[in-house]
Amino acid sequence: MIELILKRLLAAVPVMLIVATVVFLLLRMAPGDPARVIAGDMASEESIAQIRTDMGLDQSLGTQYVRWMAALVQGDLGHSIQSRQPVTTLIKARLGPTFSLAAWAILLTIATAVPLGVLAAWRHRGLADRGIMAGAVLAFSMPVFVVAYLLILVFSVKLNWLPVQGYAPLADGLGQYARHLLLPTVTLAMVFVALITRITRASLLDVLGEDFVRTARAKGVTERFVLFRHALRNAAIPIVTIVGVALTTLISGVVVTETIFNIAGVGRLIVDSVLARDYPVVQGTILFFSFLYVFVNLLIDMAYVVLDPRIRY
Amino acid sequence: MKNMIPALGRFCAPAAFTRASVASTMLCAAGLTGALAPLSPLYAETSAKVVMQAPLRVVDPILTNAYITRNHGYMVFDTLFALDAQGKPQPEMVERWQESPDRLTVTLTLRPNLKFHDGSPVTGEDVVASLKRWAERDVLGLRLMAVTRSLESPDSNTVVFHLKQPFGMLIEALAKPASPVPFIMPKRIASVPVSQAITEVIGSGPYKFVAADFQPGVKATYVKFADYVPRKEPASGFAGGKVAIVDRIELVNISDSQTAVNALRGGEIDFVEDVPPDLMPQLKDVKGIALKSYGESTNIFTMRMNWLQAPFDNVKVRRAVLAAVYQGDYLAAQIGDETMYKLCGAVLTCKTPYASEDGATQTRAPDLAHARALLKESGYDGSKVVILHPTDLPVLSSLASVTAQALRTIGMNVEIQSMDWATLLSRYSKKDPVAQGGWSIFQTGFTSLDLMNPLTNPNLDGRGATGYVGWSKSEQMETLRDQFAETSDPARRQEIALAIQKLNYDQVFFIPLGTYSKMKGYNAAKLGRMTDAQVPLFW
Repeated sequence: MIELILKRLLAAVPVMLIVATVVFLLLRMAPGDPARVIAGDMASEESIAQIRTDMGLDQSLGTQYVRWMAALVQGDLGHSIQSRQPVTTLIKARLGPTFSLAAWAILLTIATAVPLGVLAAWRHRGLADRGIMAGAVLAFSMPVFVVAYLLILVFSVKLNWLPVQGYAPLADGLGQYARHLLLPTVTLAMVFVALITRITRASLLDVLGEDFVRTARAKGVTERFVLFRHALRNAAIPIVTIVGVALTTLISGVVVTETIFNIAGVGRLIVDSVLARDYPVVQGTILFFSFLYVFVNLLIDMAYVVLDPRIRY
Repeated sequence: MKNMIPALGRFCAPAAFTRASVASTMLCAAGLTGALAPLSPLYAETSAKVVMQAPLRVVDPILTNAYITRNHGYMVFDTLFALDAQGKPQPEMVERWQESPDRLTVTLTLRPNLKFHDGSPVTGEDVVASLKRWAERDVLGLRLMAVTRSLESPDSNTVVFHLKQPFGMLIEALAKPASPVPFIMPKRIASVPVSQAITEVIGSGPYKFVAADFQPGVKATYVKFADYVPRKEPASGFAGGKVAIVDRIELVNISDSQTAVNALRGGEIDFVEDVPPDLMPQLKDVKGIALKSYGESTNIFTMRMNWLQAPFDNVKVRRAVLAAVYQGDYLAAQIGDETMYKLCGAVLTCKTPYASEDGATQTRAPDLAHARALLKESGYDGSKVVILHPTDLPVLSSLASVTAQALRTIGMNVEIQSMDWATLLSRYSKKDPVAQGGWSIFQTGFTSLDLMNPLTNPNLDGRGATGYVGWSKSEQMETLRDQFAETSDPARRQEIALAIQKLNYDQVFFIPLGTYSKMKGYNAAKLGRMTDAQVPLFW
């Protein structure tokens, strides 16, 4: 296992170097000028040129790249062009809300979707199955912003039970923390609940048709034991894969939810930075996401080994 | 209170590292934070959470002319002069000022006991350094410095301008409310080159910036400056006594307008700087929430054509466009609510002494036959007209399609090119022909603060390729602007302003596309005493 972890971490280095280079080049190729964004639309060309020089943006692409990479290997992601704050500080400040939201959303997803998927497979073609599948199609089809506004309208505006927006860190109290996270978590989880419910049901139905399940039933094993001990464990690999993908998608794709609920997370940071052409922040955040993808994939691979001892790397 | 903290301390004493201890540590952290808050020097009795029209990221109000940074500047910094509600400059940090009989020496004496937020006194040297930095970035400042032989501070309370020639706009320049505003900073901060952002935010205004709380794009906090000495006159516009109305202001960014309106309804925030017209009905009947305009015709949509490239290098084509457009179409599409907008053809805005409708045709139903005739007369060959369309600014989103429709109606070959604002800013600086990435029409919005003075109104720039985008060239316009700068006689200024208005429509420097009133929504009990001005002023 340790060998696997080390191998994967070493393999991540060239991946991240490629990501860093591609992001650097793509940003420079995209239209837009950070100096012009800062100076504003009424600034003179002389002022803009002066700002560009001070930021080092007038240097050749090669020089800028070498300078950025040299800092990067020392763990320095640079400073924001807009606010002049270190990129690591900006990312750190946004991690709490994003990780909280993603963690609770994935927990809610697993806690809801797996039992629903199991129930649907167990009651295949029954009323429960049809009801759950209809609900999954509905949840999957509703855009995130529609779900968010509906929840806000009902629970915040009409009933006044929960806040409309914002994020309260745990330091503000567990109650405030939970109250602020509830609606965004439900909003974010809904699509993934639908997706993982369907995947769980389909995987389980495949396994329930296998010979060993028939044998187990013939031996007189209880249906609960068949479902949870035999079938679910054998259906776990695709479910874990999707949960892993969902986790990374949740973290990098929370921007709509973060915007509507006004949560200052990493998703918003990257979108705002792209719009402002704040190159160091975009580069740093994308590198962080790519590392996260590598790390989550490593966790999934490790989970495979635990779930299925036949798997070897 | 003193007894509570040791008790909390004992309860929070570290124990074995268990799940329970982690939970109790979190609870303790929350408890300690609450218990210590009243002892903090930042403790405030009254506070307000406010949402502005954009996130605050750049805190240097001279480096950028972004409105949000200007608004931040008004909280933290003070100005030598300021415009009152009638648009007249009044002394603010200045106690008295005098002009020599030959109008070549202007002496300003600062009010006594002015202090910066770090406790140091405001001196003439601070003023000189601040004005020099500002003048490098500001069009009016550049003109002022061009006629200034020397700017010096003979003693700690005095600043003297020695001029090469009289400059009638000197006091107006120092009272200028449009970005960049001549804010006064300590000399050590104002000595930072103007192309580099200042890193310390120390002013002498009514609120102190809490640097430790600042999260760029997320949150900024200001606390009342206890040592601020407001003027005795009541607040009026940007001038008069700035008496902070709350002890603590937390500026939070909510990028979604619907979320901001919901939060205001729910009492989670106290102020929304810009309530979009389509969301106003949601706030109209909410108890305790007030909706108020920043004044009539405060915001103006504008169209600027590219004078360097075909077809708008031909004045007849520009005149054809002027004849084809109608302000009512733009305002109906972009604003919708008739009570919020007004047709107005004044190039120096409708609410100034220089307002005139002379030459404006876009305030009436368009004469399309005349427009087609002008276009034919111009020899327009069907060359492509590219309209730049910013997609991420809802306040400008409908303008491009209205213009495109109007121009197609008279037979022009039009293409709308959509892009985000950052791309547009980069694109509109290109002077190349359309085929090589250039552009033909750029439309945007200004506040009347930007346009009301012929010297600061960028659309009236006549310097050609070295001037404002669109690159209009006219020696006649530059002469008129110089004359306006020199004189301090109101009648003469009015005369020049009328000549500028006529010249604008004759040569079509820009087309005002209509005015509207921006609305603010706020908690009436908490912020009802805010001074009426075109920007949010929390005094």
